[in-house]
Amino acid sequence: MAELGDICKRCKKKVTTVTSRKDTFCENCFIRFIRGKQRKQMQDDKFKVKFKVKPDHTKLRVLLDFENNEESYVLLDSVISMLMEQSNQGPKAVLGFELIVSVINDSPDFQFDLAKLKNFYGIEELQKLGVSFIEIDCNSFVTDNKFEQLSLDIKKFQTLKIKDDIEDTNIKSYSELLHQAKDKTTREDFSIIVHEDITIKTAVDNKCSIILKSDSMTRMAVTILSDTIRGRGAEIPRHCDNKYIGTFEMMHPLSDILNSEIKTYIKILGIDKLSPSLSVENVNSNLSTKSKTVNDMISEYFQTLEIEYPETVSTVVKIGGKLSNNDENIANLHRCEICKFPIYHDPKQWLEQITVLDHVPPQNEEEKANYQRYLESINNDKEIESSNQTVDDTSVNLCYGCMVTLGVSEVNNLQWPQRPTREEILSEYILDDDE
Amino acid sequence: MENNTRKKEVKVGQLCQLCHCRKAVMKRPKNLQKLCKECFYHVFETEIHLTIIKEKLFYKGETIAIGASGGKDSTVLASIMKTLNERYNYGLNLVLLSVDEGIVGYRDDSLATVKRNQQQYQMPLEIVSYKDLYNWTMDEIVSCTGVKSSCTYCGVLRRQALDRGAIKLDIHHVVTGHNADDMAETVLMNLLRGDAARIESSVNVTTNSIGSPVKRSKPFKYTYQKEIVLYAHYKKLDYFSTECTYAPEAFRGTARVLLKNLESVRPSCIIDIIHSGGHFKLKPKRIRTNTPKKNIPQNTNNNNKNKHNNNNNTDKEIEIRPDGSVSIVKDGNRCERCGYLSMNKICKACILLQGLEANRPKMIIGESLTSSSDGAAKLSKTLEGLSF
Ligand SMILES: [Zn+2]
Ligand SMILES: [Zn+2]
Ligand SMILES: [Zn+2]
Ligand SMILES: [Zn+2]
Repeated sequence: MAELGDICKRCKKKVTTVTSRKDTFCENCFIRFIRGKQRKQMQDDKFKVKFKVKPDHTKLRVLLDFENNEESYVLLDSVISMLMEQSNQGPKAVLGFELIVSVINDSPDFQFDLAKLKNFYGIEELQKLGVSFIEIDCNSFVTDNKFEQLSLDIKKFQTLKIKDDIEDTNIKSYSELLHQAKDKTTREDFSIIVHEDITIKTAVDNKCSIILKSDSMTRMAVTILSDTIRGRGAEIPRHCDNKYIGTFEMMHPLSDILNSEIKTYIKILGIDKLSPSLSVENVNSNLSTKSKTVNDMISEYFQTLEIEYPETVSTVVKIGGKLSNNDENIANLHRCEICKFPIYHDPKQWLEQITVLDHVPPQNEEEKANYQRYLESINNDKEIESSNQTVDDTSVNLCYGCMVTLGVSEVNNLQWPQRPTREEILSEYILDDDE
Repeated sequence: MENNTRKKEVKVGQLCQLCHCRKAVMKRPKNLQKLCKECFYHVFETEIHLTIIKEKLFYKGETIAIGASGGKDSTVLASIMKTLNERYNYGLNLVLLSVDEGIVGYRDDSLATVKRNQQQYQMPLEIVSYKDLYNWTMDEIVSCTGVKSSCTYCGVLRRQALDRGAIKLDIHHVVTGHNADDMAETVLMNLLRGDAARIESSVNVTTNSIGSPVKRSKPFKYTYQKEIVLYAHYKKLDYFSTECTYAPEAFRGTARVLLKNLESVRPSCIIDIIHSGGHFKLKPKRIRTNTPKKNIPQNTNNNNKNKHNNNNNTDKEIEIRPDGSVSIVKDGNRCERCGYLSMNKICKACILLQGLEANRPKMIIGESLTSSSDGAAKLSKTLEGLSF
């Protein structure tokens, strides 16, 4: 293996300073290596520079889902460098696409400085490259949506919709929406659902037909394990395949890049100056296990494997890519009221099968007396409860993952935005659908 | 219940959350419900019964071998099988089947436990030993290969030993004490190892390779390990509580630690992982053509499909493994050496044993312990690519 400090075998000029994948690079060649991985994922003709365009040519519009993480900064940088290359191909070159960067402030520690970012690349340069930014306040998602009131009986695996379109919702902000759940992982689940919703709506509103997700290979591996652990194994193919629904495409240009490479990239180009969020190293490892989310724990797990089992991340992503959820019947499946994903098996039936809830009846006088006292105690509660109940409660479907996550948080009542499914959002806009 | 309960009335808040008539004595690990002992027994046993019924695990008059190690899982399994068989009239003949791996200090004591179980449950007992079957004890294997890969060896050899023991007794169905925690761990391991051959069947209750004379079932598929311990504790079952002296293989160990940590924040994660595992489906595989080999079905599931396009010999299917090696697979292939059912020409156990034999002389002549354990590590790596 080549040693650090040797002459770089790629450019044969500079000295190597970076090691990755058992190879050494000089800084320039490392950056080119990473960008090459992103280019490969976006090598389709539709992204390429054009020299002859018809007058009615409508430019491809691409949305970059910019999140509060290192990957997003690297993805943005790499795509901007791609556009720069295109713009350098002579005066007749027409850039292959327009880039719309959507920034949702849905993370509590998100310190995003748009002015600083624009200055880093140059305001005029960004304009020339057709890069624009949209900042979205996640609270508007809460205020723009109507809410429904769900009542959950976790013990019976049943959910009722108590009210449609509540006028007097006490949920006024994004944070209040999440804090209906006490468990951190449940809040994380909520925020993932809402984030995807806002992103898709933004893409549709801005006439983008492609969404670039910033997930690195490491993060995809985390997502695959995390879906598995949260009972959402059926959703893995959504995160691994590029195709999303209809003509609408979800892409992962960094899917072949490791987290450690993301960090190196940021360091080399000095991107860490752009946000304090980027310099915070491993804040989580100081937390106790109890206060970590499932994703935190899995990320740390992969970090511990990095040295002895470095191939694990790519192994997991590869097997994830082999999974499918092609159910011919998918259009007829019930959708989950909360996450809107198809329900492949009725979770209620499954749970009843494996968690028995009946009991051994009282065997003697003392036990009968105890039961009597219990009945009296709940009768008092029941009267209060039944007085606020409306008549037209309808039973709604929850997927297994949502049922479990609400159960963990012991949420009995949930006010949740009434949203269309992704297909419904898209069907308003998509005229002809190839698939 | 003790006599003093009359004096002191149980508070309503302390009553069992299912029957509301007896004092709760435990928090159920699966869903943290507070239960009395009676209700816990009831739900624990009924859940296993429901699994048996739903999966149609047995037929009336079937003879079942219970894989008995003397540990808590298999001791509870023997007890539960006896209880349910009598309560629901399954009509099964139950036999205890034990493997003596030859681990001094561990297996000696646990076999003594199995022998007591035999008396307690009034079941016949059959013991098969590694020494008899393979001419190696586990202790000898470890002294030859080092501790590191001991679980790989033991797993392969035990599986065959149980099958061979069952066949010897003319029994075609073995039940094992694999519980929900083991299932969840297997799902994670199959993902972490990228094991496409096993990923769809990670959570099957019954595994039955076509052509295999012995079927295996796991009635504890949905049963938490912690609940098995609680059941054994309250029922005062006689089991041997020491873990195998040879620690699990390191990589599996990391997955086990992750699972334990996850369980501490989400007790349901074990069941949740099993739920996910039940939804893993591989994309349809592309069929390779133009290979100058005989027409060979790729796996048993494709059997029917192949019958239709079997007319000419240009249709070929071979399995290309992740490491690039090629396997020629036939239904019900037998190992050339020992005749055991195997997807490969030589079964895993025979490959392991071959490696061991090669190392044995070295052990006697010299002290090159490091080189021989290197050899074993390399060997077990090769084995990762093979499948049963
Ligand atoms: Zn270079
Ligand atoms: Zn859902
Ligand atoms: Zn009870
Ligand atoms: Zn063999």
